[in-house]
Amino acid sequence: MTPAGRRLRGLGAWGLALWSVLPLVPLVIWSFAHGWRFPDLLPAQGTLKAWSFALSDTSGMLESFGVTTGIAAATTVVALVIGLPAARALGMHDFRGKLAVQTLILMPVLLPAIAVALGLHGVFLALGLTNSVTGVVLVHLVPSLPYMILILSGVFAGHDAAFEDQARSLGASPLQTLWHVTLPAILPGVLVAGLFTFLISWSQFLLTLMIGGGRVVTLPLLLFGFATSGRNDLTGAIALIYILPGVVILIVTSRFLSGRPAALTGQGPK
Amino acid sequence: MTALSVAGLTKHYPGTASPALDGLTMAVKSGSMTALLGPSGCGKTTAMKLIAGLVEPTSGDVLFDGRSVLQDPTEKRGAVMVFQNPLLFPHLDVAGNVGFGLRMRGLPKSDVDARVAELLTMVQLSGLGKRRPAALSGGQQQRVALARALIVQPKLLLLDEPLSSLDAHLRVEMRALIKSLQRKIGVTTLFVTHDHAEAAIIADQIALILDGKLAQFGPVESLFQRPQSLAVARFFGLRNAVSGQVRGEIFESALGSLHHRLTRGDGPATAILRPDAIMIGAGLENTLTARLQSRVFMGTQTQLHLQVGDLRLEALVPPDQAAELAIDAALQIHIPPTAIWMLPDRDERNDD
Repeated sequence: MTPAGRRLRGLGAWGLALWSVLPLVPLVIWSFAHGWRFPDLLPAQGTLKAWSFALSDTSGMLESFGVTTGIAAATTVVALVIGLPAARALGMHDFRGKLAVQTLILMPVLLPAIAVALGLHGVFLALGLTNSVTGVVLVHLVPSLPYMILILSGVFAGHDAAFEDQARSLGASPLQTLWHVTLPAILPGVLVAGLFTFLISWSQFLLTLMIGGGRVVTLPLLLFGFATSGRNDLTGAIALIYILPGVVILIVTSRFLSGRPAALTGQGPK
Repeated sequence: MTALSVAGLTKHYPGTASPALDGLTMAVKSGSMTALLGPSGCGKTTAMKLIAGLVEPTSGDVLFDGRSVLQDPTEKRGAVMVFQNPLLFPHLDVAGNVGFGLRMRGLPKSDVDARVAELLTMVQLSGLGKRRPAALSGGQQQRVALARALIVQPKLLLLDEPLSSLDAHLRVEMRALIKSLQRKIGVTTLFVTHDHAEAAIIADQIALILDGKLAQFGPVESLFQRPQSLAVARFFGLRNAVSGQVRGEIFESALGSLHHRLTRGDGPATAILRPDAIMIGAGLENTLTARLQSRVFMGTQTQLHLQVGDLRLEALVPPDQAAELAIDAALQIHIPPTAIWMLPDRDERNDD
């Protein structure tokens, strides 16, 4: 690469970094501001009041953080249980109607969330699943399962079933084979898919609002409440807490996303 | 030590025109080394997987020491496969791979470690237990795979072309190792290969499978010297097939009248003349006049293309002997009567 090209690439990287970090700057300032009015460039005084309120019991932030984490974790586990076998079938076998199944699985991503939510709301009402955490977890599967299955089927496409035959013939039961051979081989992919699912659930607003009926208050709902009531300082603090898992997950997964998962490169199919 | 027999073993995959394996019946003695030989796609790997329990047969039975094992799941059968690809588990080190089978059986760690060390020594890899599989050469990986199979003291060792991914010199070394270990341990072994020379070197007996069917089964020499069909002869590179008539001790054909020493009734027959049985120079019997068309130097032997009347014959002779012969010149050859083999009556169809 020429020096000019390298410089251009460096510039691009910095631009991209600024692009993602800049919108956060006002949030940070707001969260520490004690009155910040137009046309001041910076707030006159700083304070930790917003943070101490956000972290206190009265704001409901900690409880909401727990609920959001629980729902995202449950959604991830259920999506894994459903997604692993489905992705294995799609990634490792050819069967009649495979394309139709793949299209159907992707459908929820293509449809607008509001249409899905309105349709499901009636069904969930009839089943008595509205206003409950269970209902919210189930509805979060709608936007997250397609991604889970998509990522995992790619992982399975690169997985050699001969390793499983080898393990079985060496005396491993089907369960031992799954635990000692298949899972370690696909673990990096499972981690990435799981973390993505977690984040998708973590960022749901509309579906949570419709099915949870305002009783299940996840962080996006809480945040929206403060934002619409004009509490910019609290919105700033809670928004920063809200993006925390995303940042952590990005750091954890960048290792796996940057290259082919290590477990798959050691011994590929012949 | 386990004797293996299969009876009418058949596998027909759904959606395929013909069975991958069609009625394989054979019995293998305990402690023997049998080569399953055949071109790729002939059904030999399917046969292995059926015996190991990795594939369910359409019909037929698999018996270990006379007992059907069809109801036993793979992990209970004790028939361990080693594949062409060593398939070392990448997340485990060498010792972890070798000890895998014993850990699955719930053996205590100290026992596993001791056995792993023993097996690594046996395959000449002691001290490499902590290496990752990716840090090993192809030959070392295949030896780890062999140790991992042998550690569980399998009833049956199923080797599926374990040498074909190795370089020529490694292949020779590994073949010798497999053979010596097999002799020492005495494990009944099936060895899948498409290379008849390899089968001849490594096995006590050969089962030749062609198009999913057992074409011939017997001691190594019998397949080379007494093929039971033209297809078997062809597979072993025996291209000198001559059709003619048997009259007592004489075989009449386009080659003229040849003496033979086989006991068989008069009538049409197909003779197979092994290329190494065709001798240069006149003999006491069966001397023919041929014309040398071309020769191919093959290292330890030279292949001669001879024209005898309308027939082409292939001969293999020592290179220094071949060097004295002039192309297109007439020469005398002879075929010892004991070297003439005729296909049995039941296979008279000569599809040339």
